[in-house]
Amino acid sequence: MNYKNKIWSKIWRNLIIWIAIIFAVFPILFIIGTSFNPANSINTTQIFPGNPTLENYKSLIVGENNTFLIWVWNTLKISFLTAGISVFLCSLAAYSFSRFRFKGRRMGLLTILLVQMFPQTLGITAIFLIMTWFNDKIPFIGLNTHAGLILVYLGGAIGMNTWLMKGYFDSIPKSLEEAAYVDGATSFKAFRAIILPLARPILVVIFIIQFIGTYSEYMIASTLLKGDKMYTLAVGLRLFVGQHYDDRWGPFAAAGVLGSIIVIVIFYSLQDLIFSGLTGGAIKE
Amino acid sequence: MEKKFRKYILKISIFAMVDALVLFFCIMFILNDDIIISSIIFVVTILLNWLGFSKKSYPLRYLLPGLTFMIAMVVVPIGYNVYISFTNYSTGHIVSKDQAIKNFMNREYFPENGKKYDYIAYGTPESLKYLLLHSENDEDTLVDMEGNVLDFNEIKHSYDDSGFPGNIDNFYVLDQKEIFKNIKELQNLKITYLNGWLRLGTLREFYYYIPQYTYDSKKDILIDNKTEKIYRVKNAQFVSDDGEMLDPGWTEVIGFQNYIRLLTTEKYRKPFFSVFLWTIEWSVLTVFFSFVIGLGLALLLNDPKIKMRKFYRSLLILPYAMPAFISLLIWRYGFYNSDFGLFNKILNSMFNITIPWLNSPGWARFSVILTNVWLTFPYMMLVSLGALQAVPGNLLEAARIDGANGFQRFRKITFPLIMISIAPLLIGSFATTFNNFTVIWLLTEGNPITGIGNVSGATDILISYAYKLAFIGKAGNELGLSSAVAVVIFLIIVTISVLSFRRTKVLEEVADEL
Amino acid sequence: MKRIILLVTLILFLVPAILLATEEGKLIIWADDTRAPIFKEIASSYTEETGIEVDVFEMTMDDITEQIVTASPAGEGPDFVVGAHDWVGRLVLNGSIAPIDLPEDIIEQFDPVTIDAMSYGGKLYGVPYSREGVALLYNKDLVPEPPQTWRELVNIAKELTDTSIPQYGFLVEYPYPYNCFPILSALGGYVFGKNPDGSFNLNDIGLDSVGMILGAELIDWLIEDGLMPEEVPWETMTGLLSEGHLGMVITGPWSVPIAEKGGVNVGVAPIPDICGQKPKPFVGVSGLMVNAYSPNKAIIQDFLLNHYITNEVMMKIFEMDPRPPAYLPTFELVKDDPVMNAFAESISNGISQPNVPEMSLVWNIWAEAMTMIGNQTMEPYEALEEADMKLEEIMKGNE
Repeated sequence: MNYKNKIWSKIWRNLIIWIAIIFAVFPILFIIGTSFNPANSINTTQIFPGNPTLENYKSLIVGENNTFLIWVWNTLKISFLTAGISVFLCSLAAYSFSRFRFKGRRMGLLTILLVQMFPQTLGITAIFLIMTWFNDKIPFIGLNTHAGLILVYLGGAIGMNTWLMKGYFDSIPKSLEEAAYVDGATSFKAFRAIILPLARPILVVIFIIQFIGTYSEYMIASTLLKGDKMYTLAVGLRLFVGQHYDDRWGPFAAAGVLGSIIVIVIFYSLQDLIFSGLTGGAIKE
Repeated sequence: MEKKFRKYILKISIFAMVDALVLFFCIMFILNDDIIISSIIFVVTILLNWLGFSKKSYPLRYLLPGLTFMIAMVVVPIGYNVYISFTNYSTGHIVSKDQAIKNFMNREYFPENGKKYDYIAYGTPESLKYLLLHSENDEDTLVDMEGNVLDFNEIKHSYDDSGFPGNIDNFYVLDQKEIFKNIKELQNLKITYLNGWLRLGTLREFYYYIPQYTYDSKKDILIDNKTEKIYRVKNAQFVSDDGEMLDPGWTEVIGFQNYIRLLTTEKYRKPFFSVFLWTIEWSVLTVFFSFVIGLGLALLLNDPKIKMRKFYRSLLILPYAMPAFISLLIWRYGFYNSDFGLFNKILNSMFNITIPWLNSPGWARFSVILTNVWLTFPYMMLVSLGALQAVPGNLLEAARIDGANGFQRFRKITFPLIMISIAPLLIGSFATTFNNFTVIWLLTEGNPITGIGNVSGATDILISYAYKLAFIGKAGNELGLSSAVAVVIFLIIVTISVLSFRRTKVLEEVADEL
Repeated sequence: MKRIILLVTLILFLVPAILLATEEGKLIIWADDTRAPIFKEIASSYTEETGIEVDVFEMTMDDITEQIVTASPAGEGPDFVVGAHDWVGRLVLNGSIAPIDLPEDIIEQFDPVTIDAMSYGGKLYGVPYSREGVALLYNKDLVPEPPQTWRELVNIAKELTDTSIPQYGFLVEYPYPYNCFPILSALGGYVFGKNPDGSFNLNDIGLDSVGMILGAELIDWLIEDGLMPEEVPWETMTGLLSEGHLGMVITGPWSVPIAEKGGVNVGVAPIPDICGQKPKPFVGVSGLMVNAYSPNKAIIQDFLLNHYITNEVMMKIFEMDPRPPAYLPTFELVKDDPVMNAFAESISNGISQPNVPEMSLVWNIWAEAMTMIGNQTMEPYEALEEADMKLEEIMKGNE
């Protein structure tokens, strides 16, 4: 009886997973199909074109659209730095909210989340004007610099991530740090040596979330960056379609496929860090 | 003890050095007339010093780095938007008054039978020294690079064989490439002449220009030099007495007018409520379904007994990894199109039915939610996976021994624990979805329409409605008005969130007890 | 700690690499994806001639029109934008572009329609290089001879249409009214009436003119008979066209390369007469516009007069983007190109698309009316009359 139950549970689990995978992947298949299409259009009559070609991929790597490679490099650079720095900033902020009790703590927590709720679509002009001001005073973080763009992203990265991280820190028992304080450690040392290692799963998750978020951001990047050598992937790709003259659906889809493969590879290699050893079980001792 | 003391000395000396440096920069900036930046730096430094030495500042020490970015890049733009909502910012009224006046001052005209001069430039390859201007029927004029007219005879010069002044003051004639190297300097040169000035008209010639307008700052009027017409300020624009308006006008604070317009104009107010309801519906359903799917998958894939978990997880992350605007266009044109889309093609061939995915209000709402769930569930899966790592395995084990079944363990232990960190995120996601312009715009643009000339379509959420409001004016944008809507949206969403947060307080206290 | 040091050094490394400043004495051009490569060519030959650097930035059209408004007064704008003439009204209102002074004898060398299109309030705001408009594009393998009359066109459409493949005999992008305007205008439909001096009379809105309603009726019949879907977005149209499942389509020169890439044997002909009346497509004009705040006025003037407005450059533009040149000396030289000539013939009957800023509002409401006609909620006369009424209300200023 028990054995039979186990089999059934295994079957339905796998079934659910596979249904979810099909749901997740079938639109992507359509994009892959388009990326092999020699005509620069979305396929309307079949998913995979009758006469597939690698031309679109070739044009991205060695052909007319090879600024693609620069865009990928720019995007990776910006996304890595943004994600890395924002994990650092968020963990500091989250630590403060989780471990110290100070005046305005709840208000502060609430505020950093609430200000993220302003509809950004209408706030872009202001960001542009701020960056123009930087441009005059401190040109290397002004308009059309990747450093400036990273600064803008960092501003928006604090809210939700800090909450997620604070929640995680809350579940790490304070007794561990108290022991360290007895040994004469400063709070920063306790944070670095005890909290951060234990919180690794959430740090990695936030890194990935921030990475992907930055990777596909369009609106801010397109306002601040000028010139196809400076563009990120999302801004560059937008040039391929969406204007009524010369849509390049083929290269567009191919670039989308290559771009998301990069993200998948990064996720695939980082996800071990979320789960390794499942230390989560140990911290509640 | 000695080590601690040494550290302390080190700290003090580092701070002292930084402070000295800052002081130096402050003075430099003040000398440069940059009072604002100088005082910002000054205040920030004092704050840093306080942070470094006061025990009370401990929490802030950790918060400040993140907060700085947030204030600069999030709070300031919000402030700016609030300001815009109190102005007449719209097509034709976008620049400041100074900029508009500068625009008019830049306008000049080339008088009838106006003169043109070709020129010879003298100097070294690095810099220009003199220009010899030449025009038909006129004597040649020598000027220096400050625009002063010089007496040709007072300066040493020599003629070459053809009687051409090949050398002036030991500077020789520059060729075109050499001139163009200094084009910036040449372009800025304005030589006062009669009522106007001579300036570079094309690269090869100087033209005589007369400024078209004179601005009288005392009376705040603009005078057309050619026609002598007077333009006075009216509604943030220069207008002549016979009603001729000069473009551009400028931005001006107009108080609550945008808000009043929003409240009193039937056409804007009426759709607001139905759009609002649909926006709530759209956000709640999206967050609910994507969270249920995401959490469910996270639970399944957190189980070490499932083989190839790593591979499955990577596949499931795909909708999130593909830039959204690519997949949204594929959904719109590849799947939902009622005549050629994949969905209808399959349904048509199998059951002979056609569904108006994006063309009937009900189906369109269903479709946008479906697509948005597809886009967001991987995010929910990711955060759930992260949060699940904080659930202590031994607690679950103990419950199991006590005879709790899988569902009970989930309900009593896992779920409350992960909700501590996830509940605020759900509220955050709710807000993000509430304002998710991109998805609506790329999928439906708010359509299907509900009638000709109605601003809102069936799938318009508040933010896309605000965006459309910005473009309904007679001509171009009404950004002032749409900023007012943005502020209203912000207030609504903040209220909703604050109300929901009352509940999370309870959750946090649970955490403290554990 | 080590990691932090690593991070800091990494940042210090990256920062200098991404410095990039805009400066005086150098031209900057903003252009969209089709035009940017052309202007990069032109720019590099200008740099060769004069040593003055020219940067061409590729952006989407929406970004160009939106960003020039804020960027220019802040000193971050381009010197030139390459754009379509229907931007002119809006950009002038915002003070973003400056009038251009050209000698009379040079202006006379352009097709007067194009100069007209680039002018606003009696001043010239752009130097045109091409005219464009729609014609009947057909797949020679499906339609050997282009139809001469509307009746013939409908017959061919009936013959070729088979929705199970799907294949269509005739399509036009719908409901956005730009491409189907020739059908709406053939029998006398118009958008704005004209004043005696040739400017647009914004009080005379023609959405409910008899010609417009009759034209819409023709399209409505196609939809009712199943010869055309109720909605034809650009993506669908180009998909069917490039896969060889579309017989005829009213579209512009921009669709030709797409069809050819899909291996379609493309022919271009004027749009067939409707009841003996010539369809009148909208004529669009592309050209260079000048930023009002540019510090480089002299270089701009020189670039225009001594480089851009020359047969050599105009020819180069045509070679890279074969649309009927606005510069007549160049147009004379390339008259033999059959595809270009067919488009030129089609737009020779055309009317210039209004460049007043009110147009964006008109497009919206007009498209809504066409949607209601397409999905059979309203009859053409109902929909267009309502659209006309709504427009008049807004124009009068009572919302």
